Amino acid sequence: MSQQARKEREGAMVRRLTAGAGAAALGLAWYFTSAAMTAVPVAFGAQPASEPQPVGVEQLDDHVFVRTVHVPAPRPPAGGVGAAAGRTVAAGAAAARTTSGAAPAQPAASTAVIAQPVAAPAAPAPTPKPVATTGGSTPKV
Amino acid sequence: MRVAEWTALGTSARLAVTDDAGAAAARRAVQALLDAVDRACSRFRDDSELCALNRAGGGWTDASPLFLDALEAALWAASSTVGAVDPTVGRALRMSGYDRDFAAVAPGGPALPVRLEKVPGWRTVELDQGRRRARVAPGVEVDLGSTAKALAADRAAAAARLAAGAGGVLVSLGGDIAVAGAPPEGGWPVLAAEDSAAPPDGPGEVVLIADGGVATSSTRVRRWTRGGVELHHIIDPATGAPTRGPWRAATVAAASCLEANTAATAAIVMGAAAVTWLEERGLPARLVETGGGVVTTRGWPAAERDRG
Repeated sequence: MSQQARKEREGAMVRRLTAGAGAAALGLAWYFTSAAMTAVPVAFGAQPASEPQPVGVEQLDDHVFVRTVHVPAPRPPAGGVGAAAGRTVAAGAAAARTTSGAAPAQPAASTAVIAQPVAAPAAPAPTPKPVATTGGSTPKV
Repeated sequence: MRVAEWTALGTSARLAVTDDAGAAAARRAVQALLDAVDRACSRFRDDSELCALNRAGGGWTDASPLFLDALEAALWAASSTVGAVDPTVGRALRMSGYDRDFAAVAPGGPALPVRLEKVPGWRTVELDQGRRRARVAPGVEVDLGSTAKALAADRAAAAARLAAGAGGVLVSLGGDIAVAGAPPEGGWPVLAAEDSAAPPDGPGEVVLIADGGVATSSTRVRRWTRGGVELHHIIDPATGAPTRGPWRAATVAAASCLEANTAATAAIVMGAAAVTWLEERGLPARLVETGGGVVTTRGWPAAERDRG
């Protein structure tokens, strides 16, 4: 690209950005997006979150930009959730989704059964006494 | 371990610390934080920052750092749930009869002239972090009930851990639970119930959490009737009316109590689609159907050790 062509292009960009900023100042800049569920547009000058990183900017015309930003989704706990008797199930583990009363699938029966002496199963660990209850409430905030 | 319980934010506050020596300081830190949250975020205090914002008629109002954080948290909740948890449900909540501290809401009453319409939407809320101010479009009423208590639990747990100086802490605000510091061996045992007023040693499923938070949203705990129609406090932003989905309670564990409560409330609003939404995000959850059946997502422990 020649120096003259580059100057002309930069000049056009400056004018377009100026027009866009003016539109934002006039409150014309509410944007729409067709991005994924975790990406939503926000308006310049009215940031609903702490400056999320833009993942794309599309200029529809001289006045309207679409800025797509990534909004972080709720994250699972790092340590997962444990069963009360001590068995921990890590977040994201491939356990089957369960429904109350549904019986888990049984593994296929073995064709060779050999009697082996086994130790008596240990008594289950006592359930720890809960420290708090999570449940619904309606406070005054 | 030392446990203290008292009333705050119109609900119960519970603090557990593993280091007894730091218990008193931790409680003072929690109470100071809750007092500040009440002054900033209560919609039942005329002198709160939230009421000032809702009264401003579209004008800018000054906002403290804590109030700005609470608004920002509410807007994050809305955007991350694609609007399922929307802070602009205030007017809809008031029009459905929940217009005062719940203790003063009459359990019954005549029919209400409720019009089903989408709430104004979280994009009508503007924050100006530089000048520490906020505004909402005229007529829009913000309610922070879905996020402020959970945010307070996270902040209170962090403050309590700092004040205690050692060990670990658990803070529960009406069933929104946050933990910080080193947990007891195995984790903090928490009872998952529909009503946060249920005693921790009562019947139900007990799980262990080591970090983050766990929260429950339920349509069963606070209900009232108007004109023979039973209502509750979880508003579907798409209709402006109490949700009528398949779940009566949702318990979610997450990296923070704010995230847990956001996901739990979103699950109630999303209805059947919530299972996929939760699993795509790897969130362990326990959903109770209106008929009492229980559905759990990956990561939630098997329920073979349900008690009671």
